[in-house]
Amino acid sequence: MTSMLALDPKTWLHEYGDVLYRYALIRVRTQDIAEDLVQETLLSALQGLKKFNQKSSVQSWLIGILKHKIMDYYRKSQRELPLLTEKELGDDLLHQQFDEKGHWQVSLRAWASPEKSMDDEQFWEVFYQCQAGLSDTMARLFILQVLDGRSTKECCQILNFKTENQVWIALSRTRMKLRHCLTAHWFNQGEEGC
Amino acid sequence: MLSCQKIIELASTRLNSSKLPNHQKMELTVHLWMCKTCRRYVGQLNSLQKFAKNIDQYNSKITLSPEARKRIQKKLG
Repeated sequence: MTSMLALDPKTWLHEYGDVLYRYALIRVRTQDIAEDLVQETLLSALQGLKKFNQKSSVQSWLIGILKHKIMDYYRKSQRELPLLTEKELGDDLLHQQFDEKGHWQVSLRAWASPEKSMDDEQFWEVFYQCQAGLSDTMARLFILQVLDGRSTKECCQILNFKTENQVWIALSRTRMKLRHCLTAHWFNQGEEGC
Repeated sequence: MLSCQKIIELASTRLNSSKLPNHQKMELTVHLWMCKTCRRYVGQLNSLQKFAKNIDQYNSKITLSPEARKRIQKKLG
């Protein structure tokens, strides 16, 4: 009975539409594109219904299809994106935090109960906003490496980096920006001084 | 001796890869043991990692708009 219910594709939009949409939105950051990807995913699922393996849940099957669609979208749109500039990489933030010798020139304040903040909806709004402030390439890099656990090699290919070292540097700068943004807008609500 | 700037780069790399050569892993460990600011920074990177991994579970407020839902329903026939 459960499996018959689960395999009623008419209910999929209702049941999984939001899950798919959230999954896509955080990864492509544009509402229209996320909506299109949900639609394409459900259409592909309908057409490929025979390929559905009953052992996996409908949700994870649908997410699997969506993942492919997102990668296709990344590959296609990445060609049109410019290479990362110094500004995007956050050179200004780097120079604000470190002197020429690479020593800290700010003191970092502790984050108050980071674990607890995950229960706060407003925290996630801030997180989304901080993520929205990243360039497309940096946001994608963070997603691919951290959320989706893709290898450095795959990131190189998908995002057109020339060397793995470039990937590591860009990822470190992405984290620096996110950390700074969360500190300023959530944890300490102000700038870190010297 | 590596600078703090270089250390935090290594720490970021270590979060996603075990590829760091042993001498760098060692230097990173010793540096973090001695340097409070880098230790704090790296602790916050660990939190950041956790936030990212939980984001799919926590953004339940975000939903398809009724218009988008209607549009998709139409396409699905």
